[in-house]
Amino acid sequence: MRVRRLRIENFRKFRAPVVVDGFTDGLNLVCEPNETGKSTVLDALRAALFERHSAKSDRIRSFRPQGDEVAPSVELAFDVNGEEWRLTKRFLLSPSVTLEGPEGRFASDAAEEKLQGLLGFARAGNRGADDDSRGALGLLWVEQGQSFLLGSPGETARRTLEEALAGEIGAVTGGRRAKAVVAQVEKALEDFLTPGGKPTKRLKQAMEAAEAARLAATERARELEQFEGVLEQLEYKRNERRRLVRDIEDPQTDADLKKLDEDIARARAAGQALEIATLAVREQSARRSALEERRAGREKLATQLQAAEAKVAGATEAVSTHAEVISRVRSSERAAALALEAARTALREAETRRDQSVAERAAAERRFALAAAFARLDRAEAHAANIRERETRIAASRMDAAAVDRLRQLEDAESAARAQAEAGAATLTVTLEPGAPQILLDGTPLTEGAIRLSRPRTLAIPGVGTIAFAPPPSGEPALARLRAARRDLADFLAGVGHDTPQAARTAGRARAIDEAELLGLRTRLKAECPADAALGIPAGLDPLRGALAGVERPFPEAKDAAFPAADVETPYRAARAAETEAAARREAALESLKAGELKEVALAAALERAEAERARLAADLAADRAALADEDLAAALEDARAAEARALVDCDTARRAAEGLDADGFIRRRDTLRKKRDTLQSQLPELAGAVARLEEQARTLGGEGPASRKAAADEEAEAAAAAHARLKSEADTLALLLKVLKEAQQDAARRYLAPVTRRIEPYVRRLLPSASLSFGEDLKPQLLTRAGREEAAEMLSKGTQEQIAILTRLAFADLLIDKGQPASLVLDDALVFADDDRFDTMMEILSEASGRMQVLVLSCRASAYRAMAATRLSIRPA
Amino acid sequence: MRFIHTSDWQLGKPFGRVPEEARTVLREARLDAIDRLAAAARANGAPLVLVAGDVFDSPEPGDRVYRQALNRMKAQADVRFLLLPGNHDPLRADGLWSRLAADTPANVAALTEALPVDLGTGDGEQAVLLPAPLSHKRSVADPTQWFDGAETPPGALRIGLAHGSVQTFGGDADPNLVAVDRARRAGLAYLALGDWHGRIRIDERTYYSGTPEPDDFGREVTGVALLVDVSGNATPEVTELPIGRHHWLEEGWSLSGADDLDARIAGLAPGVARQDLVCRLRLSGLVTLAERVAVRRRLEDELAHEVRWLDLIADDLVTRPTDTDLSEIDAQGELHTAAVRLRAMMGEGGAEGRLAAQALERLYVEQMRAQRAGEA
Repeated sequence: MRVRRLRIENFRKFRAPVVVDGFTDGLNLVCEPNETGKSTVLDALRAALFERHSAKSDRIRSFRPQGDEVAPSVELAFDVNGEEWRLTKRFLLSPSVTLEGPEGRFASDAAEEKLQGLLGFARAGNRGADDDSRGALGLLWVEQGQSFLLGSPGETARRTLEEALAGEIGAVTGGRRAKAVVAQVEKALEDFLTPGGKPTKRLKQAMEAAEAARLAATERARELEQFEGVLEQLEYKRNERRRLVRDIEDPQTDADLKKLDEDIARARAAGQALEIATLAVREQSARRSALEERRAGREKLATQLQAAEAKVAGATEAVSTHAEVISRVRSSERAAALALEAARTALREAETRRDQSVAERAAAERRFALAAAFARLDRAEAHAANIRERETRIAASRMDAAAVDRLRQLEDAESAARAQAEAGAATLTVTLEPGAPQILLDGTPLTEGAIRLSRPRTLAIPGVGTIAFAPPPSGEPALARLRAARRDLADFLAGVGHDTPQAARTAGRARAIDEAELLGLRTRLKAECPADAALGIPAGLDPLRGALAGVERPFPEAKDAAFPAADVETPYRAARAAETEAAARREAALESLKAGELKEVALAAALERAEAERARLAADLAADRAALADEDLAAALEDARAAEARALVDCDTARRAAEGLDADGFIRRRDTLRKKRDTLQSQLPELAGAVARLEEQARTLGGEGPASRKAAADEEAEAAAAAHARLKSEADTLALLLKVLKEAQQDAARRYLAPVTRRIEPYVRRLLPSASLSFGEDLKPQLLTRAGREEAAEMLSKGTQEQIAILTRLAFADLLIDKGQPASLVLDDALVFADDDRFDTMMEILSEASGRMQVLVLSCRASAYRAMAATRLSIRPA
Repeated sequence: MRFIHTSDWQLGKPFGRVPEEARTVLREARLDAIDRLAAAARANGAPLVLVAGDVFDSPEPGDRVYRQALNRMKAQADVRFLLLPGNHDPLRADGLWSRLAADTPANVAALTEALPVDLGTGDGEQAVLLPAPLSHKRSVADPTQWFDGAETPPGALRIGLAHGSVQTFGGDADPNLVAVDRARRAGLAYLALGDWHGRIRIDERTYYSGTPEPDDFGREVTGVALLVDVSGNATPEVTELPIGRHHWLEEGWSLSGADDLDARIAGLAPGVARQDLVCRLRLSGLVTLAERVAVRRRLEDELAHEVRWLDLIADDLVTRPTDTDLSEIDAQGELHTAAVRLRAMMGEGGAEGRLAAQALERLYVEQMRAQRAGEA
């Protein structure tokens, strides 16, 4: 298809008619500034071709210039396969369409249909034309801002392409029919399986029905089993009842019972006779034995009386014999008492003597201790006085150890000062001739020897005059120190109250002696005052003094004045032993006496008792004989014995009669039989109830027809399972068919896409060296392979996407042209993202393409296209 | 003495494997047989119907079937029905028969005891019935044993009524086995047997009547009752009376194409109304895909809806898709590819192969449907 001329009126911004003409077969360029109406021109072209003239959609209304109720109209002249056509379309107000061409003039819907047939697009829907209805032409006419979309071609366009492609590979894809079949199979499968392959709808229902039927059959089987159980139980209970009734009504039992009753009566009568006979025997025996006892009692009494009399005689004898014995015991007791008295007196005397001796000895010991204590006190007092004296002296003396030391220092200092003073002094050596006159040195007679002249000295030689020596002044400081030392010494001596150092030293020594002595004295004093246990005096001088203060100092006596000797102790011990022995003897005598007296009393009592017994027995015997004489008693006894023998014979007869008739045994057997019958009868109602219950149950359950129901349920379960299997098989069949169909579709798609891939390859290579592009089944560019790396087309840059989109369309257009389909490529403001190199390459490709097809480029970028060899068109007023 | 010999009514048979729409009718038809038997009895002047066991399909058929059966019999007041318990509805305490004894209308009697029953005098000749009720589904003893020693008035006709098999079919000892020569041994004028659903003559005095309403495939003669006329020592006169409504037909068709199908269908059970026909067809043979589809369409979409129930078993009708079949699906393109692939899978056999065969057939059908839709 080639556009030749376009006239537009009342269309958007073009109220007044405009014309674009002069289209050539090759590249046509409409290069106008923005807002000139390039896109409107393209819209008008599309509207003329694809929108139904009668449409009144919003989009059609948008064709009207703002605010004008006018009829947008478009006139289009174009060629298809070398034939010229002329299309006129008017929208909204008196809408119309005419198509004129070599085949004549078409109007209204006929014109629309002819146009569709001519250009291969579909009738637009109610909402206007869309990508789908525009077909391949729509695909090739790229609107502003749409050029870079890597969309999938619409259904119609794709079908057109696919048909073109199918021709290419020389095979029919099956096209619409194949799609319909797949759709049918898919739809059919939906009734059985979800897309995920899970049972659904019919298959699921059948599956559930089969399961439900299976469960129902199980339930029916259970019901039948229950029913069978009821019947079985019923039969069992019935038989049991039958047996029970038979047992209850057994005639043998009645006969047995009757016979037992008779036996019992017989046994009872015999028992009573025996009892009476036994009682008679017992009575006669009692009478006989009473008489026998009486006779025996009487004999026994007589014997006892004889014994009692002998006992009285014996007791009398014992009493008189004992009287002698006891008088002997009494006299020996008295003798023992006297002996004891004497022993006691002797003991008291011995005791007194011993006590005196002990007291005397204690007094002597005390006297001795006191004497010693006084002696110690005397010595202690002497020591105490000595101590006091020395302490007084020490207190008076100032020459303690420190003062002695100080004195020694002062003397040493004085000696040192003197030696120093004398070291610088001249020495005057005196040698006197015997008998030389007395010479006085400083008033003192001069002696031989050396004299140190350390101070002014004066020698007075009587007769001669005086010789004065004066030490040189250089010795003065030493002299001064000497003087100071002497002064210190003199001061010290004055302080301690001694005139000379000698005296002071003596005093120091005396004090030291006193102090040493004092220690010894104190120790001795302490030794003299120990604690005295004998006198009860504590340690120390003062207690000693106190203890002895009020005591008279004993006379000094011979230390060896004898204490009383041991002879007081020995008589005492002997007296004591004698007394103990006498006491023991007395005790023993008393015991004997007491025993004798007790025996005496006992013997008297025994005599008394024996006498009383004898009297009682004699009285009893006499009384009994008075009641019944001995001969009368013998006669009565004889009579009683005969009666007893008769009763025994009678009793024996009765016993033999009763033997073999066991009334208790009969009664037990009778009771057992009765009880058994009662038990059986008591079971009957329960059993009857159970039978009735089971009968009712059987009737109720049987009414439901459990066996039939089970049979039916089994068959239905089987049928449901079969139905499920059938549907399952159908589902599997459909699933397999769909799988195989899809695989076939994919194979076909792969095959028929090859031409598109082949066509676009050279273009892509020119733009992106060594790259190749592949398409999806829906003819959408999918993968770009560059240097062995695959990139998803959607992830490429906008510019590259746009360029690939245009190249894809170019390839599609080539494909269509090869199949003799009308194709022209329209690009509105495309390639806006292209860099200069890419832009130039694209232009080259477009220029080449324009040799095969009409290409219309609308753009506002004049400079970009300036160098391009193209027919330049303008929008001009008509 | 004339009477009707029938057996194996099996009222309440569930027909659970039969599709719902046919099931009810088949069940109802068994009850209808009672009316038809009574009509036949009346028409032949034999108002006595001896039922040789299996009156009901199960020992507990349920109140509905039970009531319906009694009601139908009660309605035929001039016909006397004597019912014998069989192995399907054996006699047992408190079961079906206990209830029946209490509920039976005047013209119906349950033969629940092995005791002679006086049938009265027909045509001046006294007849005594010797029934052999079954008290268990399976009993080892011959239930007719007692016939031999049964005492009957001198000169009375002795007619036996029993349920069981007269021969063993191998395996375990067959239950309820009736001595094959019982009629001779027990001096019976006629022995009416039940159990086998087909009508069979054992000897001149021993017959199985078969079920009056057919209930399964594969019976030789079925759907009849026997009109029996016995007198003195003469051989009984036994006449077949058609009673059944449904015709159960099982056929195997070996097909080599779809051409003779119409003729076969036309020749199916001549004289039987299609709605009374229960038919099981086993198809076999080797056909093309197109033929198979045509056969199935003809049978499933047409015949199946004409008859009471068509049980079509086409597993052995093997398809061999031809190139023509495949090119009919599509000469080229995706559908063709898919068809070729499926045919290849078929060739591999096994479950997968069978599935592929079904898929191919489906593809063929779907393709035709799409084509029709496209043409329309």
